Amino acid sequence: MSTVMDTELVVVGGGPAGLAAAIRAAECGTSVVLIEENVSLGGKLRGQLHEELSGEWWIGWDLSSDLASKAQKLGITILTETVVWGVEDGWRVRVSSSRGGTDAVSEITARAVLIATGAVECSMPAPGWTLPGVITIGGAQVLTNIHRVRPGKRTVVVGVDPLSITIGRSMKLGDVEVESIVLPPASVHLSSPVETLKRLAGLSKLAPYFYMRFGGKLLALPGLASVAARLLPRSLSLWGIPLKLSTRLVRVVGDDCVTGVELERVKPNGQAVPGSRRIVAVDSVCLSNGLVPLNDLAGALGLEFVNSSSVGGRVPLHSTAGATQKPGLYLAGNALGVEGAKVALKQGEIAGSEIASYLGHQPYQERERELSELRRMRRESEFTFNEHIQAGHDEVEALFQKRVTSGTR
Amino acid sequence: MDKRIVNHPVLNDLDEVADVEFTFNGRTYVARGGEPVAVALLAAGVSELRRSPERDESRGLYCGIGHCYECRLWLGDSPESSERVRGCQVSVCDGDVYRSVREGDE
Repeated sequence: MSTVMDTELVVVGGGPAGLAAAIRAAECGTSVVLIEENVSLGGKLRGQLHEELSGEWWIGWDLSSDLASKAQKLGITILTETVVWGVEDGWRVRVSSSRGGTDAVSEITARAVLIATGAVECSMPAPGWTLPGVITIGGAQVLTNIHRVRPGKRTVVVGVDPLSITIGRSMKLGDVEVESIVLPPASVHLSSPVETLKRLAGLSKLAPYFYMRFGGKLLALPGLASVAARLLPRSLSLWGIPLKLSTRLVRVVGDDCVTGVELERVKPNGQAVPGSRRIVAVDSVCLSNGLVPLNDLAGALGLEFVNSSSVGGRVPLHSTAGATQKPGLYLAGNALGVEGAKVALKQGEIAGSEIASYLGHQPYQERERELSELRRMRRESEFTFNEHIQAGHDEVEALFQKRVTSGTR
Repeated sequence: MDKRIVNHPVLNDLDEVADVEFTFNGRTYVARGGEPVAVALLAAGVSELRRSPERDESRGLYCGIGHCYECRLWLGDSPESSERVRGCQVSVCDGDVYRSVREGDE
């Protein structure tokens, strides 16, 4: 049995970018179907919880709930627990239910599609990583702050970055004992203490936390990262969580579930300290190895992709406002580059207006103002995952405009 | 239920939600209505969701957002009506029947 639905705009992904785009487009008079494969709307925004520079708490749960009820009031058709498994030119969006079965809507025809599928975590293979109890750091955030179930009683976080530190704190707030935050295994590229400090220095000018801000000032000076790595204490305390920048994971221990981790100490260049291996008892391990944009759907549509380490991965060519080489197909949010939720929300709003204008509802008069606001928000963002993110976006935009001018759009 | 974070220093306390019952590999469990089955099982102390087909190793929830398929289960009360689902993506409905291996496939 198959049911077809028709609308003006289908938004794929109910995270911050998709929600903001759906709301903005609907406010401009567009009929919108918003599709989300998870149980609730908000995407990773729903699990976010951190203290801003102002001292205010950023509570993703409340922000998501507000956006979801706004979308509902605007009459947006919201399909949760619904998977988009194909997007075809013209536009036709193929869906199925997360529970399986085909008794619900199976196909949606539309004049425009916005893909806002976000990003996906990179894996961190290490011996034992497939054991139950080993989860990604994003999984830990979802469990702790959305579902309110502790990933374990005692956990170790592997990987040192803004996400792992923030979610480590979230777990501590949820009364999980965070044994320590340590470096990834030797198999992870550029994970020595020196390389880690260099990366943190590039990201930390606006990091919300004391160590990272302090460290940022210290480490921004050329050459200091290696000095700092030599002077590092074995353990720094972040809200009582031991941050161990000269200890790394060797393997996860356990037969049918995690019972511990083997750790070792390392020199600043990442060389192991002989005889330093020891086993620490934990019942869970949270792996953090960064994110890459998720573009499976766009990839099947024959768009030209560009690989940009500055935005964090492969992305389809697009304008800053989210237009692609195919009329009617738009992108927004982390699918275009790994960034914080505030940036994704703004990208969504911009794409929503751009689409409403494309559909003939309302010209986008605030375009230039909002695009410069996006640049400002990116500059001031507390969460930067790639130091040269703006330059990366500018390069992609320049390449897109070149294609448009040469008529290959 | 000591895995539940009921009170929280910043977020609201966990709200009251009606419980639902489901079975997993023939045993009955309770979930908070609307929560994914893999989460309900974790809260009940069950972290192994299936065995890997070749090496017979234990597997459980990994990414929590539907990307990795490590938490895949069968949902349905007969082999014919069973569907492959992701344990982190399916919210439990009262009376749901989940299995690691589809009946008859062992």
